[in-house]
Amino acid sequence: MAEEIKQVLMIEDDKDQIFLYKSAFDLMKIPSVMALGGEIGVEQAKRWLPKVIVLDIVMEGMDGEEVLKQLKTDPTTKDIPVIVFTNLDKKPVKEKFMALGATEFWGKTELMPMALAAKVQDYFDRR
Amino acid sequence: MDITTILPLVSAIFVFGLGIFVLLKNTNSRLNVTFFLHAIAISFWLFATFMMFLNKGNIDQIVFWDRMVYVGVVFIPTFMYHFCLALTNRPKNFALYLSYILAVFFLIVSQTDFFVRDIFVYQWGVHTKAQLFHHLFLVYFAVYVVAGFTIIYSYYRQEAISSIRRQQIKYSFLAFFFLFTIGPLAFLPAYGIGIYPFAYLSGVIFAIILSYAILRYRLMNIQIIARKIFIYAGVAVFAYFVFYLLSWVYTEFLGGIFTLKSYLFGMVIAPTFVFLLYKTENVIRSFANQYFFFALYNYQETINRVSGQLTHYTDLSKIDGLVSDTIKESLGVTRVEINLFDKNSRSAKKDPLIKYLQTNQRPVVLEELNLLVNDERLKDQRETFSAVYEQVENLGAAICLPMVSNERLIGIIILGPKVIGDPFTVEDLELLMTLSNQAAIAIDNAELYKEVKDFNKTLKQKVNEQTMSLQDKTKVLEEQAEHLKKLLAMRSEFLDIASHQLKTPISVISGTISMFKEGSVQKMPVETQNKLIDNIYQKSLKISQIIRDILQASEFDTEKFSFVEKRIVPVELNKLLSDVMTDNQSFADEKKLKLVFTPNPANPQVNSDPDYLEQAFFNLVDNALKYTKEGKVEVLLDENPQSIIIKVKDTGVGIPKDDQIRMFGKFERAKNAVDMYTDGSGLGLFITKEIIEAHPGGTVTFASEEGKGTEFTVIIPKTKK
Repeated sequence: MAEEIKQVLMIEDDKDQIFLYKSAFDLMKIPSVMALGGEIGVEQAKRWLPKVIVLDIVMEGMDGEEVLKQLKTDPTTKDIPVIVFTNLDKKPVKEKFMALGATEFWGKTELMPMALAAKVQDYFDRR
Repeated sequence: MDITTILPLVSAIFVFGLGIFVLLKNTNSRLNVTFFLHAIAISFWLFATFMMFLNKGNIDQIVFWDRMVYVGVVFIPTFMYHFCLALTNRPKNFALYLSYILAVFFLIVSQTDFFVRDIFVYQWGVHTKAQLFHHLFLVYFAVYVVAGFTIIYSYYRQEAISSIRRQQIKYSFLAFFFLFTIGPLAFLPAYGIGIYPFAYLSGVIFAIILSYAILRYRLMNIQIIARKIFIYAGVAVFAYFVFYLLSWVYTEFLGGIFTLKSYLFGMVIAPTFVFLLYKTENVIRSFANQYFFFALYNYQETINRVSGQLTHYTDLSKIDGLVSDTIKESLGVTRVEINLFDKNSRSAKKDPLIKYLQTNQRPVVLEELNLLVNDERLKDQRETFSAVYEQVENLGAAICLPMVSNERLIGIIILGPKVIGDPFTVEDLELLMTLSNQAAIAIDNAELYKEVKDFNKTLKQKVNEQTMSLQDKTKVLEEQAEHLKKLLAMRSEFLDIASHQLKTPISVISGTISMFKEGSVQKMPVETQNKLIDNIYQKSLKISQIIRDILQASEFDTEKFSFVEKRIVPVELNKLLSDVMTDNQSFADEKKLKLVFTPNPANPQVNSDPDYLEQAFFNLVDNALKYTKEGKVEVLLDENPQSIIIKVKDTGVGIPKDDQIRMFGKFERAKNAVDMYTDGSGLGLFITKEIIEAHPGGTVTFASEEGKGTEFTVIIPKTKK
């Protein structure tokens, strides 16, 4: 049954941002799970097997790099597309995350909340 | 003329020659003079005997010459006795004066018939017949000869004489022994006993033995003259031989000396002769050196050897050693001392000896000076001489040699007297002068060499120093480059952090506003809308806080930070810290941490700028709260007579050892701080440190253990406003 549900998992440790992006997803009627931090994020990903994951990098505790590595090494989560969404939008960081298996890499100031929601919707619509 | 007639003559020549050599060697020595007189007496005896034998057909002549014989003979015991006194360094005594009186008495008597009369002809010669006074004379003769032997023998028995002296005495004794055992046989014919005239051999034997002693054991120190005479005599014999050979050739083959052939032959012979004469002299010289003059130094050879060696030496002590050893060996002096003047004070020496040596550049001989002092008529000169004499005598020196190089006096060589106490010869002085000059040049060169060497050494050292400083500079540059690299890395790290920290609130603001713009927000519930607007406000405040930190850090960056004088006031720390607590309370509540501060009842005060000071403590408390997950943050205020002490303790993550050193650096945060709290600007501690250190003597330190917590200690000395 789980695969019937098309939802997005957002892994982000700043409550204000979670509130903002949750509002955007809700407005677009996109089912979303918000994980406040890396450890919870990995847990939720395995539990819900979301259609797509939005991942922050700079987080308290387990950071984005570690989360991505764990997702990509777990057979159940390795095929889930990961959009890295961060304010640490430097070229070397982008290259590193793309090499680790990220699908897309966006700076938070480049991609506005509704645009992010639309992008997520695209992933839902592809299949 | 047969061999028996010649024998006394040969003896006479030998003895006379020896006497002359000894006298010429040193006319001042009592020993030499008495020996000469003794030799003259003997040779007079022998020569007169020869003349008597030559005229043995004529009775009057015989008596005349035999009386001449006694002119010499009567003095033989006197001079012998006198010589023995001189040889053993004894003073003149009554017996000596008596001996002279008796000798004169017998001299007079010997010319009368009371002494000798008539003649006695025997197989090998003739003699007069002894009379009454002749008998008395023999008694006198025997007594003094025995006395002389006794003196020599008892001296020889002494233990305190050197071995060389012992040998000299031994040979003198031996020579006299032969002279006075064989010699008196000549008296026998006077008493009618005609034996073969062995007696006249005694002179030759006497001369040979003494010559040996003179040469071998430096008796009377006549080596050089003896050797020269040997050489000259050799050359003379050669010339004489050639002369007769040529005369023979001229008369036999060339028909006389004054013929044309002879002139032509002479033109060939003359240069050949000169050449051969030179060669012969060398042959005789080397022969003399090799076989005759055992302990003699060879003047030329010594000089050659020493100057050869001197040029190889560059070591001052080696030069000194070589020179003093050479002088000791060749001249047998007791002491050789080489004094070099300090190069800088060479010309400044003012004492009379140095001045004298500098002016004359000739050796100073103590004996000679004595004569100069006595002979000099000018008062000034005499005073100079006596001053020099006194100084030389005080030095215990027999000779002082100047060491002259490049006409400069660089030092003096002081020589003690010779071991055997003999005076220095002209040859000795020549050798010494040459040696000292050679040594002076060698020493000068050695000093020059040393200077060059030292200079090289200094140069090398300088080069090394320069190289070292170059290396040091390179090292410093490398260090600076490394430091710059670090700074650049830090800067880019800071920029990364700063841009991340700035972008985070901006992304929230711009994202929210974009939703307003699109009209999306307006579809949301009012509470959501209000929350979003509050977010925008909070994030804009966050931005201004971050910007303030950055600006303040750049303010501290340019130079050492200091307060503005008029803003410094006495600050009550209880109040200030309570304010800091209040400001941080909400943050602590949010993190569920206890924040503890108990005001100090003494109410300590410090002179400071309260705004800055508050910020410094705010940063510390803020930091402590940020990096602590659970537990508490405690602030302690304490004071001692000199200082205020504030401690901020947390139960947080602590600071890793590796990071502790650079904790207060700008933009630096401990590695685990990035993971822990993503909002840190990395400037808090830097700012705190700058503010605290702006107080005279103010310090911030910390103690930390990873996982257990950190304790920051601020110490501010109390100052009068």
